[in-house]
Amino acid sequence: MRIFKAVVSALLVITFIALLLSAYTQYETNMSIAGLVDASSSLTNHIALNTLAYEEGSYVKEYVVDPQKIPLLDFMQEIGGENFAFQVTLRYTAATEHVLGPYGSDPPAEKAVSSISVPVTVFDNYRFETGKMEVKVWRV
Amino acid sequence: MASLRRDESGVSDVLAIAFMLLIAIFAGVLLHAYRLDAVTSAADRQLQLKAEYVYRTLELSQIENYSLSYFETIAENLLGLGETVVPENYLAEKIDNALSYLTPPNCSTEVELTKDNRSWIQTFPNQPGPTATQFTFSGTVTIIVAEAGENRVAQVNARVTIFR
Repeated sequence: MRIFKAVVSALLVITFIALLLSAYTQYETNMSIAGLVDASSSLTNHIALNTLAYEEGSYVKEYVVDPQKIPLLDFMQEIGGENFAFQVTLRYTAATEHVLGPYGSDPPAEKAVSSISVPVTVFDNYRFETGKMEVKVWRV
Repeated sequence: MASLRRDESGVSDVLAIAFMLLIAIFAGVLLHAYRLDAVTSAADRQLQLKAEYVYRTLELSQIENYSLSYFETIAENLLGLGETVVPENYLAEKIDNALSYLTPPNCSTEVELTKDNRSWIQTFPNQPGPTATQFTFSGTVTIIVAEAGENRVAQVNARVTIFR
């Protein structure tokens, strides 16, 4: 019986350590995915409000994307001390759907990618059209 | 007379082992559940962002060949400014088309504009259930009404809600 108790106690300790390691790995994965999702939101917001925002003289029109600015984008961005790469695709409706892009390199197959599509207004031919901007983000 | 030896196992040993096993299982569940909601919370934040972007898109995008935005056109209809630029039925159809294009997958979007006791409410694709999670963004739409003598500013409250 003593041997049995010792074996069971050892097994319990090993099981507990394994659980602890597994939970920590899961925690790290979750936090990494959540960080990537938040980074994609932050990056998309930054692009729509600043980098790609249509400029009317000195007035920057936030939430209005100027498609002519997309090829000029630097498809790398540092957020919170981490480097992210991204790819942008712009869709908008002007009688029929126009698709511009994807701009930027394709995401690597082995990396986790967060994709977000937000509604935007697209400035095209002196009109403000309804559109969607899809941004794929991954860690570099 | 029965005697109890010191090294003899009893019910208490089995109970102690079973209790330790239960604690290990309980601790395992707790440890794995810790911060499990981080990804869900990040996805919720994205939907909140999308609610704001749907609002801004309807506020800024123009309807087909008209020079008015969706919200400006609804505001015009709500204020009852005589003959409106975009007819009501046509406007409802265009908003439905816009919402079908802009609504995130597996979600519903509701647009509500109110002025005094008048309101314009439109939902796509259908009215969500009472348990649906809501992500709301609201603001004010301002239009300038041309009147004899002078122009006046009119404001309409607008709200966009995404249901998941």
